[in-house]
Amino acid sequence: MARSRWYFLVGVSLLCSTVALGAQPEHAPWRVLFLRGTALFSSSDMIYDLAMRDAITSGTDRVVEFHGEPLDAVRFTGTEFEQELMEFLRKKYRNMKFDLIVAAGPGALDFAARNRNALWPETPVVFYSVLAESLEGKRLPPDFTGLTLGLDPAGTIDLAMLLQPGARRIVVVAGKGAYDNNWIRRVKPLVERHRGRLDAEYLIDEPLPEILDRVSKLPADTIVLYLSMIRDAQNRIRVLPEVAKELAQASSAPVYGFFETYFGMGIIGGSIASFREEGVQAGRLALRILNGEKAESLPVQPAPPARCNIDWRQLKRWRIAETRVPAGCSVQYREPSFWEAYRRYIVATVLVVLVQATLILGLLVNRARRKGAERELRESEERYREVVDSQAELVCRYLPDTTLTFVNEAYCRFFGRRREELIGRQFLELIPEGDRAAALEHVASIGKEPRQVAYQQKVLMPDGSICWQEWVGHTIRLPRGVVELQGIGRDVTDRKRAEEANQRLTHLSRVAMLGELSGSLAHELNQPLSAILANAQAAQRFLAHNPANFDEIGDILQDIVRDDKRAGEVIRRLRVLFRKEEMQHQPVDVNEVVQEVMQLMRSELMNRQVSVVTRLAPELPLVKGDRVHLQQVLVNLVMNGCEAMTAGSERRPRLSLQTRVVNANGVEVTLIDEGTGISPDQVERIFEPFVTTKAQGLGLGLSVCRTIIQAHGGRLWASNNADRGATFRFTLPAHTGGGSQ
Amino acid sequence: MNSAPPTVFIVDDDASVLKALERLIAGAGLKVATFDSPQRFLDCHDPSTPGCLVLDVEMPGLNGVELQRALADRGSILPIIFLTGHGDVPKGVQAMKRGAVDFLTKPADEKDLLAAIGQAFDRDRVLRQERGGLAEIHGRLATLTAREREVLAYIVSGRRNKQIAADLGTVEKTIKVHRARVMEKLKVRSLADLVRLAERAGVERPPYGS
Repeated sequence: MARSRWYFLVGVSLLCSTVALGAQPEHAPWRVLFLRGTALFSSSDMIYDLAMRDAITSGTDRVVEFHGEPLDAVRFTGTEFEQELMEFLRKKYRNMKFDLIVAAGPGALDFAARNRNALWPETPVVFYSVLAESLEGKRLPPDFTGLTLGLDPAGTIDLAMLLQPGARRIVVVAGKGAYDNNWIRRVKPLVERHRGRLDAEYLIDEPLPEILDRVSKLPADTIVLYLSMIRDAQNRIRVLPEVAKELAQASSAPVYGFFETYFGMGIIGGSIASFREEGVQAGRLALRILNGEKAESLPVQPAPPARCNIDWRQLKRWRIAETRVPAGCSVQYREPSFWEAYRRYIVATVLVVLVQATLILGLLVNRARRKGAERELRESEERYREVVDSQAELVCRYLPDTTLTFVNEAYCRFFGRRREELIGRQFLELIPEGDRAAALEHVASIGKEPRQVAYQQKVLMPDGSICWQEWVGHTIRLPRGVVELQGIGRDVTDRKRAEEANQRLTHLSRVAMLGELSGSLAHELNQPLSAILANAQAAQRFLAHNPANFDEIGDILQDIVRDDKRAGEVIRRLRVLFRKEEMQHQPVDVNEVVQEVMQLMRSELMNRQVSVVTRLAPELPLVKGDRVHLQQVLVNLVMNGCEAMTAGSERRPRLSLQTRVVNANGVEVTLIDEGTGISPDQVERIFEPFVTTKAQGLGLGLSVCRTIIQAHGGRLWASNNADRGATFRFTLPAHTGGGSQ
Repeated sequence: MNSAPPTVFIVDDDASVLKALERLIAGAGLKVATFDSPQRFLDCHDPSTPGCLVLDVEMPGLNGVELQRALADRGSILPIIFLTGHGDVPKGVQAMKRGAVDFLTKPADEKDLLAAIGQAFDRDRVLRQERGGLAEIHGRLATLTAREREVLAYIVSGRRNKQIAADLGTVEKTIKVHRARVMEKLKVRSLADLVRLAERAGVERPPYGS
């Protein structure tokens, strides 16, 4: 159901569109009768007529039929002739109705004015190529309209006087035909206006050859004005532009004219109306009438005005300066300049020259570049040498047996020796004997490990003192399989000394700390000593008994040995703490360190009546560090905590010491006290050296602690607890294998 | 009165020290009892047992000085010999003031230690005797009536019978009777003996004395 309705709709719409197409009005062609007043093949008329026709046909989609009648009214005249012609035309166009009659030229206009009503009543007429003067005194029917010619002899004379301001004479050339006479009659008064300045002469009564002869003898300050020559004095019909050409060729003075067709034939120029423009304008006027406008409502209009046109070649011929040409003049036939004439050759030549020049330039540039590159290479070598020499860094190259092959300025300066003294010698000689083996080992390791580790070594100075250098080395493979090593080093003596000072400070601080602990440490030592003494004296008694109790004595001796060892252990631990050693980097169990510290401080804590609660993480990763230094930190922190608490607390003070794993595999040690806390402005300052809150003490402890923890790659900080006391915390990165085990 | 041989009580948290001292002192023929913490000693201590205490000053939990105080609180008069790791003078003086017999620095020599123990035993014996006499006096005082006790306080403070009668709102004759009873019950013959006894027993004087 739905489908059949759809088909129906499509069918109806198709039908409708078909009907619409069929209803499109089919215009009948426009019929235009074209009456040409003159004969055929006049070049000026052909320009007019073609332009007129093209303007009509290109202005509409309609088909336009042109029917044409050349009347040649100048030559065929007389009433009788006209009657016969009318009879002929009536018969010829018996079955035709015209939409428009175009009358071209005065002859055609006159014919139409006389006979239109009889032949083609009510067909409007458009005329052109008619002088405005020829319309004067004529009464045209109201549906006649058209253009009046724009020919401008007056402007042409004015132009001639501008171009030839020194001219004394004007020679007017014309024929003997009616048309020619007409022009003479009209030009005469225009020439008359210049009487006094220009003598006028009319060459009209002679045959053309004589006229040509005459003009060839004119002085150069003459203006020759050619009007028209349809017939010469011998009654010979002439073609107007041809006459212009001959005149111009023969004349010994410039020839002027105002017909477009003369221009380019050798005349110098004139104020010239464009036939083509006039034809187009006439065509447009005709089109308006064809499109339905009433001819009665369209007044007769002037053709486009004449314009100054000048032939450049003639300017040259007559040596007239182009500056004389008035503004707005169109100068034509300009001869191509050298460039215009020979452009291709010039371009080709220039191209060839350019290509050659480019080639030469390229070669020059290439040469300059090569020279530049050589110079740059030389400069870069010098620069490199200067850079290497001006370095504060020590640079040297050496063979695997440490024989120096190159040293820079800094190297020489450092050792206070000349380059020649150093090169060829083994730098091993510059290293203290005890360190040579290690240095050689380091040299052997260069290039074997992907990551270069800076190597520090002691060196002997000429004055016998010891300095420190830090070196990074890499292997250089020279051609022919030679292997050299390059080292870049620097003087790290100052840093080393600072480190040593730091070590000394750390050590001193440790010694001071141990001093504080000395009472407790004495106790630790006293315990085994007490036991030993008591045991020994008891043994003496047992020996004095009779019989001596040897079993008991044996037990006693065993205990003495044990206690002695215990005392020795205390001493050993102390000695380790007192020892002044560089920081070690060994894997350390922080829990063990905590336990050792607790043992060491057992007596001290007891004495201070401080109890310590330790909570140690069961599976703590090892850290890389120095056991003694870490002990020092812990002892310091515990002592600090004790001191913070003993000042005015009523109940037995307690410290909480914890270890735990943080950040995946770091270790954190936390010490919480229940003391007085830290005043907020001191939380960071307490880690500065010589800042202390205690009555005694240098205030070095915490600053040394921080230095130690930082040297372990860790962090130490303090904060106040929410309720009371403070918490000190430090973290240590886990030992990640490698290194010494 | 306890006539058992005196005991040397040794308290030290260090097992080897404890054992060594025990050997030494026992070797010298003395009776020894050892304890590894002050608390344990306190828990087992019988104040009536004569002897002395050899005590390490530094110990976890109760320290030596605290133990000394705890013993005094319990009315124990056991003399104490302190052993210390450091010659801590202020602590020593404090301990001596509280009744320590001696303050020895570790390691203590046998001779010094045994001498100190001997001294401590003597002190203990004297104290115990004194303490025995006092107990008898207290027994006699306990037989007094409230009124007689009151009158005693006035007598000791030096008031005459007439004054006492006025103070207590009675007649001199009654006071005389009380006075005779008190002298009889306390077994003293003279006023001087009565005052000495009252002083020893710590009899309080009345609020408004002469």
